[in-house]
Amino acid sequence: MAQSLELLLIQFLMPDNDARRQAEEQIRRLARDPQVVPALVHHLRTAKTPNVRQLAAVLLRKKITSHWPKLPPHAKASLKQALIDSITIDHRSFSNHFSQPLPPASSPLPGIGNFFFKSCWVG
Amino acid sequence: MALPNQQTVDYPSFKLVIVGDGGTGKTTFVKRHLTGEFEKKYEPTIGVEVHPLDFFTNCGKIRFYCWDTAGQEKFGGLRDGYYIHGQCAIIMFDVTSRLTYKNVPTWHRDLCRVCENIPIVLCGNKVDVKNRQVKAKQVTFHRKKNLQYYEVSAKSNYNFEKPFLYLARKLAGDGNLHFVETPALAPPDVTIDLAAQQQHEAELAAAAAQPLPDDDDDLIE
Repeated sequence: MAQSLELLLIQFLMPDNDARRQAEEQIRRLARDPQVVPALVHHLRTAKTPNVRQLAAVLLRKKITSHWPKLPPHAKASLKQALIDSITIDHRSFSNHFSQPLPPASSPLPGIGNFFFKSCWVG
Repeated sequence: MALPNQQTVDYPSFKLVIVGDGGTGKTTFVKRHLTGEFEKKYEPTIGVEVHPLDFFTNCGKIRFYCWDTAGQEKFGGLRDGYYIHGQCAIIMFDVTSRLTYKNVPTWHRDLCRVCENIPIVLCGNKVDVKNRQVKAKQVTFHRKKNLQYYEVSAKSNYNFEKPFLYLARKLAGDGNLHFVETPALAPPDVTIDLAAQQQHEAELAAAAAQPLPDDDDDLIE
């Protein structure tokens, strides 16, 4: 999934209507699989262009809450760490999308949101 | 990375995001420039439709890729995903509908969460309609957020180029930039009552000299 998803994220950002629609349709399909969460975190951290990282953050915000309960415990733990690492590495892509609004308690974000609240106050 | 069918041009181009409630005239406003025609039938935009719009300026040709987004939530698609790398924006409301002005702050918040520090124009559309519900002097949001505001009418061609000229000047960093050719729009479907509109603009200018009201004073109904 990782390689094709990055290509789709790039294609989604293009002004060509047909190409973007195709990309969007495929992103929607892929987004039904909980595995889209680690894939998006991967691109959030590694995509070369800031726009793709930001798009990964936008989509992740939408998907992480609904998929979180379905992920196995080890995936949750590594994703939490990856998200926390992302905060310090690429603040811009991350902070605007995860600092508001706080999602339900079942998601990993309350802890991270709290971290953001503190870092935004001191930052 | 090269992808097939990409539209690329060898003159400056900018991504312009257009947001606002459904039915406020976003698509009509853009298509007016593209084809010159005024769309009478309302068809909600689904997701987003990108329209390239070229202007000729004294500094050369420029293009706005107009990302005309869905205003109705049920057709929103990936919503704020469409805003990424927006370099400028238009927020549109309908002066005949108070609710569309009431929702402007929400559109602005969502837009600014993705696009930081971009020039934004607020447009009050349909000023050709006599029985407007949002008076010119009641429009204050732009002053609070440092946006430009224009009263426009796609139907009568009133102020049609001003949002684009304002954005072009901001993006070029040139306050003297001007358009050297105007798009060939179809003749207006209605003639705006210019005397009445000048009165509205005068009220807007007078209101601008007054202190900003508190937030909850907006649109007392």
